[in-house]
Amino acid sequence: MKLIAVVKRDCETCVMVAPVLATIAKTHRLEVFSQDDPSFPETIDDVTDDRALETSFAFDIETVPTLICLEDDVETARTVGWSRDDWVGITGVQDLGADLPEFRPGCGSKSVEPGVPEQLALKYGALTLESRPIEVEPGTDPIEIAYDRGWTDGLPVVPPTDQRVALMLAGTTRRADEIIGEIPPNLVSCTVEKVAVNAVMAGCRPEYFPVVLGVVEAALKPQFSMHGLLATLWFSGPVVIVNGPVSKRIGMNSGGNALGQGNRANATIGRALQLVIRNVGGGIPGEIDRSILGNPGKYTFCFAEDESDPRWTPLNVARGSKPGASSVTLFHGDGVQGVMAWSARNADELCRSIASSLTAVGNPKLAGWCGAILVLGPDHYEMFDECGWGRREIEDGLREALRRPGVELVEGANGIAEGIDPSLKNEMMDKFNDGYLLVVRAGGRGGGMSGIIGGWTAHRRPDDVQIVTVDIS
Amino acid sequence: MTEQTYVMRDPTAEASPILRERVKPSGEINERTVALLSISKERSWEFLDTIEKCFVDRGVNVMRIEKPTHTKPAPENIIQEIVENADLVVEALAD
Repeated sequence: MKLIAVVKRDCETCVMVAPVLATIAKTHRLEVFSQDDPSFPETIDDVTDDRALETSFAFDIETVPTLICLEDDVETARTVGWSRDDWVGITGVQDLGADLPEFRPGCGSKSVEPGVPEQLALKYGALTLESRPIEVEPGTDPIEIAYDRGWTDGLPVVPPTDQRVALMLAGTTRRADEIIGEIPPNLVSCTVEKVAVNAVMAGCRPEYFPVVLGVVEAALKPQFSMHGLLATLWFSGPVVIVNGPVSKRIGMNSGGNALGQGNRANATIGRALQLVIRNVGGGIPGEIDRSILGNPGKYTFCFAEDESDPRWTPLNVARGSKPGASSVTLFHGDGVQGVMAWSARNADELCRSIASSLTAVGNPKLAGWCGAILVLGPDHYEMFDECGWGRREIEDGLREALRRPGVELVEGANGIAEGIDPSLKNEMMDKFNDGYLLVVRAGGRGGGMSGIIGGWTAHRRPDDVQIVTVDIS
Repeated sequence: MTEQTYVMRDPTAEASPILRERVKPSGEINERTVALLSISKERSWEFLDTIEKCFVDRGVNVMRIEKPTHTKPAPENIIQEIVENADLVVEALAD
């Protein structure tokens, strides 16, 4: 039998048990590892220096003191802190620490201080990064190197050092070498590690990483048609809506300025997807990305839904997720069009007012083309709510208010060449195909305003292009 | 700026060489304008005179321009003039 004790001087409990260790050493093979001072404890002759924390990492030490019993190099018992019963049980030495209290908790191991486990994993081979190393020479600016190599979206990126990538990977339980999918347009196999590198560059914190992985997986669903979205002449890019407990846990903004700047999670999760598409997939503006104008949301476009009212059915639940699930929904969206509707005094009036603004999506004379997200502001939601309208009533009301006679929309009607096929002149036309108008709650109080995020022209082909919701694992 | 060598991880599909590729030659230069930029070091004009003759003999348009000093980067007005009027630049070191 061999005993191992891991201690540090900067721990009162370790100092307290120093005489106990001396007692044990008289009758047992005991090796003591010191994390911060190899002269501690003075009661032991041959303390092993573990300031490099190699042994602490190898034995997964979380607390000091830790006492471990090994039989033929196999761990058979372990105790942390000081507990007389445990220490007596492991050593068999009676009256051990008779002058000490029965129990005293230990202190945190230096090997589990913030950022240290990831450093140790890299140092001692528990984590090997496969992405190609790019050396940064002294005196050079890594941010400028990232620009020179074409890694950025035009804004500076956080240099993806080993330590940062390792920390990002600690945000998920998934293996770094797991293939997450093939990234368009070049259809390159992408590992979790490669997503982590780009998430670091986007500015994500490790706790955002499960959301980033969910977003990338959603974008790679064939029905989302990420390749086509990248290559389109239209304005659209991926718009991410986050639902469920994770949005609160990572501090996303679903309130005032939810679609704007200022929130790290909102800003960086959407950017991480864009950087993955750019760097791994090779999706470069002016090359495969053929957008005529683009839109500012192609830097990043991600926000959380306001789920503060339990009576409201969140978007992900409406799309099939279980209540309480954390999910991401990816939409093919453009910029934001404001809806001014101050004067409505009931749900019917408000619905018609919002619908009249929605007719402008794509072109007022088109039906069944671009989809849309209606981001319902809190003041508008309150009015609907006071009239007893929930999600279903709002969606039904908008569909009805947006239904127009085909004769008003056909090509040439009202002197406008744009329009629907003349064969549809006797039909009643829905503005949006089923499922292509998403209603999402977000925003701050202060006025009767909502927002419209127009959708991709390819929404006219619902068999080929679909909005995607995936739960975050 | 970094004070010591360190490593970043490549975020790309790693399909390109680790050393950045040189900018590809611009191909045909006839009917283009080449700016011959002297950096104001001794005899750079002499070198550029020879280069200019070679270009002109091949039908290439040439504009001559000079930095105020070789000890500093080109000032904005010089860069502006080159960007607006030239397709290529030959920068003369001399000595």
